[in-house]
Amino acid sequence: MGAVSSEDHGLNLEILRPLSLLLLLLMPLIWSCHARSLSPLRGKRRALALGMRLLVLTLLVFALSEPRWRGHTNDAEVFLIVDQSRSVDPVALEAARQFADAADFAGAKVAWIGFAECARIFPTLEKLREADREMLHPNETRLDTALALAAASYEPGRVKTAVVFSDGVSTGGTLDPASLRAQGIRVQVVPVPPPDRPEVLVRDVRAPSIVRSNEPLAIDATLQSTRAGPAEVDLFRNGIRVHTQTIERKIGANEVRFEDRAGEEKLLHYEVRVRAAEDTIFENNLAGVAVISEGKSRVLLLTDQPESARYLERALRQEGVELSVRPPEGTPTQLSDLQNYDALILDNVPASGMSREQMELIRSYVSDFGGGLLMLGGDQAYGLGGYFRTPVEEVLPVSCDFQKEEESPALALALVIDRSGSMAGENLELAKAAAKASAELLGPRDYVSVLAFDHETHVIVPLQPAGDSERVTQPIASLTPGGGTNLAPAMEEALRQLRGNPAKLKHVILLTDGMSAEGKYYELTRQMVQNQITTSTVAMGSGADRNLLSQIAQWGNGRYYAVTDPRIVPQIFTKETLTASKSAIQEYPFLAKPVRAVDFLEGVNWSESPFLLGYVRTKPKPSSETWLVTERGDPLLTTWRFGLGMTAAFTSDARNRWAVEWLPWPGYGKFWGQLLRHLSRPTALGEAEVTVAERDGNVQVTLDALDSAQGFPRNADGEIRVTGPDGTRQTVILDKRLPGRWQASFSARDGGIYSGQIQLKNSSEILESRFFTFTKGFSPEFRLDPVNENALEKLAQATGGQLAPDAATIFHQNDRTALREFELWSWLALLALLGFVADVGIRRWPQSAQR
Amino acid sequence: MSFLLPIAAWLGLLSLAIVGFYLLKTRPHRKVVSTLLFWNQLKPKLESSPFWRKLRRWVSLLLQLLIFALILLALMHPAFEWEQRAPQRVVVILDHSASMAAIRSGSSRWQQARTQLDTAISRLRLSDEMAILTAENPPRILSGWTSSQRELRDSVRGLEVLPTGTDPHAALELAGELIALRENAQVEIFSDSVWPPDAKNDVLPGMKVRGVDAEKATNVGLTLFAIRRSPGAPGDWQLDVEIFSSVAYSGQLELSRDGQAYDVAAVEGAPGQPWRKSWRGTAEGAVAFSAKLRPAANDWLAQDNQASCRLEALAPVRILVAGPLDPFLSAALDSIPLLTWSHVEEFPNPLPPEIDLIIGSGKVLPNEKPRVAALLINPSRSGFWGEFKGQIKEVPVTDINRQSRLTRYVEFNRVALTEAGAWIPAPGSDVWVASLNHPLIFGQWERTPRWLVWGFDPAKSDLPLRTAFPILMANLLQSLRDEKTSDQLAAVLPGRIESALVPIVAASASESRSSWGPILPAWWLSLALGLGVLALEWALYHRRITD
Repeated sequence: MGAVSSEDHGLNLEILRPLSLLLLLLMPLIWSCHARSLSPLRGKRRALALGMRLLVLTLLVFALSEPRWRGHTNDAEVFLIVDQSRSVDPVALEAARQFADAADFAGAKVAWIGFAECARIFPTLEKLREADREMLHPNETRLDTALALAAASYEPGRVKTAVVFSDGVSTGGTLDPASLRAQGIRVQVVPVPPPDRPEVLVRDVRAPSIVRSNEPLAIDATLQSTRAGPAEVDLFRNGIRVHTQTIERKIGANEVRFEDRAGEEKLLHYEVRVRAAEDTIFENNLAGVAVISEGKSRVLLLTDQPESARYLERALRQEGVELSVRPPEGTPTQLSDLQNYDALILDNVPASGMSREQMELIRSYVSDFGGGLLMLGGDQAYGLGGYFRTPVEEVLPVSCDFQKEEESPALALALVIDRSGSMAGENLELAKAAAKASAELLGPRDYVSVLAFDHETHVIVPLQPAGDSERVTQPIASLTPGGGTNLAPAMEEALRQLRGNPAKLKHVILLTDGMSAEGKYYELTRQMVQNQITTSTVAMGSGADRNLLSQIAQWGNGRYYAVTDPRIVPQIFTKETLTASKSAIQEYPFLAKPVRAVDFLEGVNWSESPFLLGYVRTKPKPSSETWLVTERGDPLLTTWRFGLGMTAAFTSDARNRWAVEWLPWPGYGKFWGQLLRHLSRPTALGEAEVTVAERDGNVQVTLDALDSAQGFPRNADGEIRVTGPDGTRQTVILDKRLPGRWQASFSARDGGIYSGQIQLKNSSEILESRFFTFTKGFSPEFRLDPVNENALEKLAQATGGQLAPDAATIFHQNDRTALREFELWSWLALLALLGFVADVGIRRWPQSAQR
Repeated sequence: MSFLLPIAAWLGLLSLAIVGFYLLKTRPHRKVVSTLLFWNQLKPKLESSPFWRKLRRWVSLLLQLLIFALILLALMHPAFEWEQRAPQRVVVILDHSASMAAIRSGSSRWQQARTQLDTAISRLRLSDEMAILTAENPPRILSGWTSSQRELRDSVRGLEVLPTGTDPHAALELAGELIALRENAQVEIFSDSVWPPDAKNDVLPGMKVRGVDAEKATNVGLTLFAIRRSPGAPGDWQLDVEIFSSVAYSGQLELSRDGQAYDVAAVEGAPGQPWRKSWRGTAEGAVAFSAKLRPAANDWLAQDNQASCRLEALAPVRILVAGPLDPFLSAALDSIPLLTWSHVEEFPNPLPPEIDLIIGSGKVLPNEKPRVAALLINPSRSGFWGEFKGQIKEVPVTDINRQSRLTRYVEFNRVALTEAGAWIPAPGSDVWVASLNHPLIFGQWERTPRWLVWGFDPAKSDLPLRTAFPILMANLLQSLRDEKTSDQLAAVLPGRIESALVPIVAASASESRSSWGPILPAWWLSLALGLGVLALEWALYHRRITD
């Protein structure tokens, strides 16, 4: 049932249920009854009764039509909309307070809206003043959201006015004054100039997104200043200051240009910093930009013996691959460092030499950014290096545990763990996890025992075959902390248990974090050695008796580990377990045997390849591909794709130990060069353009790609893996818009560098792979722009308002009214009720009244 | 049921007046008559009247009291359950994304949502308020807070389903702010919630989703239908089609070119797996393609079953080369289709008619800005284009304006330039390629008269040997054609999310049930009943059935 209105005809009446008026058709029926009436009423009284009944009926019908009277009102509602963004705070609030104090609102209802990026309504100025400004996200200014909130929040039947206190510098969104006018909203604007304070900032930094290696490039920076005077401007490249300029800055924008040479690094992070004597906010003095340097393939080699890397370095240089060599301590801690390389080689670097975060970084480098990873064999590689159950093992195409051969000697392992009170918490939990991992690595012919000690010794798992790992791991889980530290009785118990065991190899791993009571440690350890029992020790934290533990390891023909990060304890235990079992390393001369032909091994003459002298036994993962095997059929070279990257496991080495006979072999350089090129992160594969643009906190990436025939790639899908400044990762699907054009967008709210790897592929191959960066600088909020009077004046004019209105008189303009509705049905029904009583009275009044 | 205005019950005292009217006795009027014979005959008949005739006085009273009571009841504002609540403020978010056009069993989701919204508006009392936003970004405020049913209905009148999907994030955020300071305020979303998955987090607890057609939908639709010319060979085009469904699908795609049947393809795919096909061809003229998808199974959304796109015609470009002929340049010009070129030794003055581009090089240069577009290759002197400052050696390309259509796809940073001119471009010039501070390609191309300077000799670089060279030339010529590439290259389609018709939020069950309740308020029903009884009582009275 639609409503009708007579407002256009000057009646201001709205009838919500106009179909109800059809009930007026009852009136002829009323008259008809009356005309053929048998009732005794006669004369005027009869006519009066008819008239009254018709009146009552009419009133009821009109009441049923639910009429509403739309009356004009001057009642007004005013929203005082105050810019709370950083550019004008607290000046805008003060300006609003002064305006409100001076204003005569002429009885209007007043409410406040505080806004920056978000907007919120406050009933009073005090509430607005007390509110946490951060909830409005003051680094941005969105006047459109504030006006939208006001527009939708006016109470019905009010004359709508908004007063905006702002500098008019929006950082996003679009104002729509026509829409505000259509909604009857008049916007008065009070321009608020930013506070006059000494300020100098780096507004933006620009540099070419891609350069070639060793190419000169220009880095341009725009500085904004509110004062004239000298300033020092520094240029940092990857965190190192490379240039400083002294400039005489002027008020407003100042352009500064630096020239630099790209060098060999793949990713250059340039930062420009300005220093001046007069400055208020220091956070905006630094801004940066990232530059990708294209050039020769670069590979990072992490090795325990940097001097032994020279063979590989020379061979790769001849193959056009540049090798950077670092010791384990140089393992990258930042993605930007790792991004300088196309592939990473881990050469006999133990997992204990790097933190969990560094291993996660390597995983992300391979998975999200397409970097290559190659692990070489050695006594500190794979499981022997403690990589069992680490993020690096996850990336590798082989598992770091292995099935022990039947003929390999059995191992009896005693794990002696400190359970004293100081181990409570994470330390004991990690020790338990380490013990479990060690137990799970052992084969069915091995033996394991777990002893815990405080001031006395507790046999958690008596020496028993390790085949049933459940029986071993369950008691370990029940280990609880408490008591002091007395190591000697625990060592005696370990000796007692292992002494009579038939296993050929016997090993003790001893872990403690405290100072033990006095004891005959030398004698005990010597007894162990006499019984072919070796002992390794782990000193956990700085409180451990490192001298004693180091000596025990030395006397016991084992290894000593001083651990500051308890999270690497599981890696140490697994490494010790596999090292002690001695079956992971196979040392005998063998020839590499190709399994089948593959492009990256093409041209290598395997029939003339010399012997390799050893390797580490590993187990290929199900979806990996093994290309070279040993004569026993163990994997020598295995590869697979992990995420966007390729990884390989070469189980022998590339140095003068197992590969000593390969060094003079002509195929040595060719093999490693081709393998590393295969693993390296692909550079641009086809003709493609990547355009990155930001709007309202979202970065839109457009990829325009061509195939090799200058056509558009077909049947392709793509995605972008983005890493934000804080290391958070996200994957965004590329959406196809046109032949050859894909787009995707991601949110970029935090300042800093966003790294992205675009990959476009069809069902069988990668068509395009591009690395890009986006540098999110300061919000335009910090640009110290002057008041945008032009925009504010347009807003005011378009809505019928004024710029800088007089607070005392502006609300006295009674040139607008609002419509307010009043329900009429109740009054009509009441009249009908009274009429009905009268109707009855007319009919029932005594006849004697009739003469 | 309860009463919102119980004080009106005091009006019930007026019923005493009605009862009082019945207690009044008619006093017989004394009149002298000649005889009592007539009355004596009539008296027994009067005394033997039927029982109901004696009761008609009381029936009449009861009927009149009933009418009185019904009107009084209405005045006391009786309220059904849905009317009993305190004054309500409702922010309605109305989704008019493409998926709302999905039809099943005769009515579309949009129609269902509109009907539900109309019901909600009908239930608004004068004390209630409603605001209506669209579920798009930025949201349109169709109506601010109002109690006027007319305003609310007017605000959604004329609102149509969009051809694309929407993102409700901003609307949900604004709605949240709108209800923050109002008592008894809530957000009601009239939508099928076929939205981007992230929007699920924006639907806060307490927001009611008035779901429509919650059953699992079956739909297959075109999600891409776009055509584009190759930048390397502008005469070549590629048309890409993508079809998608969240369920297993099959059907037939009929393709028309300029209104004529062009191809028919069988379509089949697994859930979530797009079906794709590309067509390539050559056309110098305008080409219009349209597609009609005929799904084999029941299909809910018609909007994504047809699409059209259009490629504008290529205009042939006529080039005049002035000066010594460079073999690389002539080879490049020969290889580009839709191009005619001729050669003269000297720069002509005046320019011959009917040319679109004149290429000068070295010393063969114009003295003033030509009336047609001009490309000046390695000019050896200063001119209107800029000031020549000599030669520079070893010129790395450091700056490329990648936003410009002139340099799109041109991998200039791989080009090795051994030398180039050191130029100060004329004021107002744009620079597209530069080496540090030295512009390499500059000019005025976005406004007429157009002129462009290559400030280096291509023969002294490896540019002619690279794919960058033909692409650079093709871009230049393509920009001369002023191809209209604006908005018809890709059909406007709902997109994968909309075509999949998978809701991300479950409808609020209780709200769905309450929509089945009566729309008419209790006072209205009471008053209407009173009116009926009023008419009946009148009729009975005049037939003397009541007194």
